[in-house]
Amino acid sequence: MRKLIYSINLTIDGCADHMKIGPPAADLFEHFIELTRSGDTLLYGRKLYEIMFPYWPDVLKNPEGEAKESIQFAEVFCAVENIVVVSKTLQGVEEKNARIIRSNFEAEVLALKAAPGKNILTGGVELCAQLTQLGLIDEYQFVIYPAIAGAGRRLWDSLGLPDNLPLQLVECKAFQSGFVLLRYVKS
Amino acid sequence: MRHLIFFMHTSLDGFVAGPNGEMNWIKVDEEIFDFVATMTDKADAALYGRATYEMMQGYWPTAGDEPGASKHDIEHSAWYNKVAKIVLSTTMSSEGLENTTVISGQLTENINAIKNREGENIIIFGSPAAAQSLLGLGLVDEFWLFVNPILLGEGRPLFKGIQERTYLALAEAKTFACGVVALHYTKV
Repeated sequence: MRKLIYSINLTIDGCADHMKIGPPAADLFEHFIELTRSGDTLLYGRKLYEIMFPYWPDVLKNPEGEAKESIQFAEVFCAVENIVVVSKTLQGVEEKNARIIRSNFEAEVLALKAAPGKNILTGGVELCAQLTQLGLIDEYQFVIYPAIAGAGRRLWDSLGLPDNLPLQLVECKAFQSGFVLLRYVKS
Repeated sequence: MRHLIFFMHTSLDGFVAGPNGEMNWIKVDEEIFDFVATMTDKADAALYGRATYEMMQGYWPTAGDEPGASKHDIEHSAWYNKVAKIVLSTTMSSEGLENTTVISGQLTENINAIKNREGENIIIFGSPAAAQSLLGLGLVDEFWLFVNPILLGEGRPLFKGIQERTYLALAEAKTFACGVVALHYTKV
């Protein structure tokens, strides 16, 4: 069974609002490029899908004025083979390699995991809650931004865990830019 | 100026205790104790909220003398007895307490006065309510957050009532064998 990797950027107080976090620094892009290369499927909720698409395909189409690492990420991101969007409301998807899951969430994700291939990459706030409650995430990657947001939507508030969830630390990496990557697997 | 340094154990999802005050998920061991000792060696004052102070006062003055006291018990007990204690409380009196100052108001003035005195660092252990007041006023100079590898789901949040976005500088991220990560931030 292949791995489902969850990844998100957070402030120190767990705020997941990407507008409060700002764009990743150059050294962090390298990490995301590597992570994206390790997968062949993106599993996104509607909101994350709408943040990433058509933003990154557009960067690739009009790379002028974009940072080098940003273009590199766009290349790797747009080369991911499968896009799976979980949504009850999304009308349609433009990308030829994208499809929408509207029901049977757990069975669909289990089928994805059972299929051969590289890692499945996921993110977002609601998906984290659903996937965590179902115990489907194999690895969590949190990138901690060096700020306390104060107000803002905390990832953890919507997690709705039925019980404690102990994890096992597999990596802690500090970036020059002040971000810290914390990688955990289910213990 | 002396630095006010905040030490706190937290869950990955930012709780300092479970919904009923549970703290049994906090991982501490020799490696962490020895590391913290390198910090307390550079501090000559401890700051607590009233509740944490009462907990500390009920244990540390004599912990080093108890039969079966560990290396950490002996070391930290000696440190506790030696350092100046600063307690944030509106109800407590410092009468009869040795080497202890109670601050009941005008936090910024009082804390800055202490920070401006000669001396080594001042450490806040635990004391989430007191720390939140100090954080909100921008009085904390350094943070050591000991992030435990667990999602609690619910409990007492570490960061509450902070109005403004606060940028920090990462000084260090230190990994312990037990899976705890210590994140060291300083004020920008």
